[in-house]
Amino acid sequence: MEIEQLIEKLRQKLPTEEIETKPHIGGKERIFVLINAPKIADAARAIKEMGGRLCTISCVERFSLFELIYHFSLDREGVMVNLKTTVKKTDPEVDSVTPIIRGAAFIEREIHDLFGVKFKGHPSLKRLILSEQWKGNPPLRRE
Amino acid sequence: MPLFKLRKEEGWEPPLGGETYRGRPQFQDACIGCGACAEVCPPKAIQVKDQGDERVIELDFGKCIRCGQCASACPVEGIKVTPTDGVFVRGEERKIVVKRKLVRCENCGQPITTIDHFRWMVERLGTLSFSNPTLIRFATATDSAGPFRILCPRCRRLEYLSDHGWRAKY
Amino acid sequence: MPEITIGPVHPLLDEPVAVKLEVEGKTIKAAEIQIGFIHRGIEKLSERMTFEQVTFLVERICGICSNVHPLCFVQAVEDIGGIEVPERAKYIRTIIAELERIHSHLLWLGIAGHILGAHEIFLKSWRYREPVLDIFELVCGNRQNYAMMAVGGVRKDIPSAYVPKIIETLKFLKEKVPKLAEEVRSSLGKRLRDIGVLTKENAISYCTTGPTARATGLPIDTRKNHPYAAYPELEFEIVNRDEGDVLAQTEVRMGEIIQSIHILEQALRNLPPGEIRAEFKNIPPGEGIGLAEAPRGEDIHYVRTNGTNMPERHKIRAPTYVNLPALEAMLPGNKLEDAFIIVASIDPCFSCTDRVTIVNERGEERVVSEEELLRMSRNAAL
Repeated sequence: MEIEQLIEKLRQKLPTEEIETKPHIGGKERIFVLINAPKIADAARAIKEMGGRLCTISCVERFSLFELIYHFSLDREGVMVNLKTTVKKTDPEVDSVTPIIRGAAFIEREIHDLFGVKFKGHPSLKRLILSEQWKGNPPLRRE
Repeated sequence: MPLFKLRKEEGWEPPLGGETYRGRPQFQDACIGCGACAEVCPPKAIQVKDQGDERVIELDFGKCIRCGQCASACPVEGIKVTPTDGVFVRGEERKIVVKRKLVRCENCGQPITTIDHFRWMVERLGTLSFSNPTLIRFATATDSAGPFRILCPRCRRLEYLSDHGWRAKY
Repeated sequence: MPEITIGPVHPLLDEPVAVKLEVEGKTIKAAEIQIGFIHRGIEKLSERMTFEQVTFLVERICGICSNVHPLCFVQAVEDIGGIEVPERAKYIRTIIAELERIHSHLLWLGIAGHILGAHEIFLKSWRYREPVLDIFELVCGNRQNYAMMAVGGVRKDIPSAYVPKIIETLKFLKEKVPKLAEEVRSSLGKRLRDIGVLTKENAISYCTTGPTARATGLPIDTRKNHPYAAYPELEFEIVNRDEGDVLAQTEVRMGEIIQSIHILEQALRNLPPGEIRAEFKNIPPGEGIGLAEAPRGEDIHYVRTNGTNMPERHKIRAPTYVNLPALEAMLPGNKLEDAFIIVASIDPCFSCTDRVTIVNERGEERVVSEEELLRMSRNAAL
């Protein structure tokens, strides 16, 4: 499927209008989709139904926001679709995609450990990487 | 190499890989003391220490990860990677050291770099080095002070602007 | 129901993990995985090292997949900067990656033999690994941390004098590996059949990758889905099985060794002349993703830069990270004596999974207490 057809299909299925592509030397372009935080679960479900496989979730710290990027791989078409969303630093909370994609459990627990982002609806948001006795700020934050 | 000889007194020798093995780095005579190896070293095992009129570059072999970046970054093959290695290093074997004569700024006293490094710069730049008053001192290889002082880049620019710039005419 | 915990430190496990099993009689009813014992802070360390230095840092995440992490990282940085890698460098990257895949699968065969008590298989497969490691020492300078990758290409060339030696090693492997595969099938086949079954639906829902997923029938392989390096120009097949049990994973891995030899022969025959490293000025601000197929699955690095010569954020997801939760679906229903081989069948690399221990002394790993981590993060913020 060509990239333009894929983008059209995404535009119909995902609750967003902003889709941008980034050229990648030696391969197909990579698609970045900006989504509002409350709609992230629906978007993840839509991509999963299209045959997407969740690769990982990255968390980047900006000035007063956390940016969460969900990396999906559409294996049949050979295209990466990345969903970007932001949450505020003061009370970082977003819907968990673990009920939809079971493989996201460990990934969300790690982000919770290292950055302090809460995932609503996660079956067991326990410590994964840090020891139980860790007290203090989540380590990967700037402060 | 014989087995079960665990101490130097018993005849232990450091293990020698094939000639292509990336092992212990060793400073050579060609080293000019520029410190490029210290800038690229990933675990920061190479430290540059300037004391008095001497620059000491010290490689802590306990931190070395045998990557070979020091040898790749060196402009003159002043540090080379040898095929020997060692796992337990103590005492004098742990520090690999080279010393070069240091040049300090005549105005502020901060270290600039080594004499060998200046000579290398003059050789690379050729006639272009005559555009730099400090390098002229090293290019002409004279012992007398001459009209130009050896200055660090900051002092050199300040002297030019205030003594020889357009303001000086007034 | 009594609970049995395997780990975190155990003589049969290479690396620490705690697997809690709920057992009834001798059957496993439920399993829970705990990781984090070898967490090293690599992502935090990346933020204060230059791109060239980070290449060496990520090499030391894992001892067996030592090449794929720098490969993924430099691909992510090249993605940001729009740097075009010369052809010869792409082929050299492919050669090193496939040699690493061969040695990693042979190592896994040995571990499987060792766990099941088949010492002949262990000794033979590790013996056949030695010529591959000797090639690495000849070409790269070290048997394990190759230091070949650099942003824009590769660091060292493969002189044509070394190519006949590599071809000789491949001939040796082509003769010995099929015989070893037959021996594995005949002596261990019965033991490994129908244990640790992973269904295709579970494989999709846990997002597994690599031989674990290919053994359930999913035809996913990063070298075909998102081609990189010289793979678009090389011919090879994806090795698939349908059963999803441990024997299927073993067959997939042994088949992949043969495919790797096939790829290497093509790459060495068509090695183009030319430059090995592209020049570039600086990396602009932006973000990039690098993908590669490790021996264990798909590896992904995400890098964000801000115009300086250090990354602003570096996120690593190693393949074992997504394959581990699948164990919670693979273990129940099996006997307790099969627990070990099932855990080992996903080829777990816990060093890749945890990525947070301080690696500044060569080879030394220590689990870091929280006061030390706090001090480290405070010093990093200065």
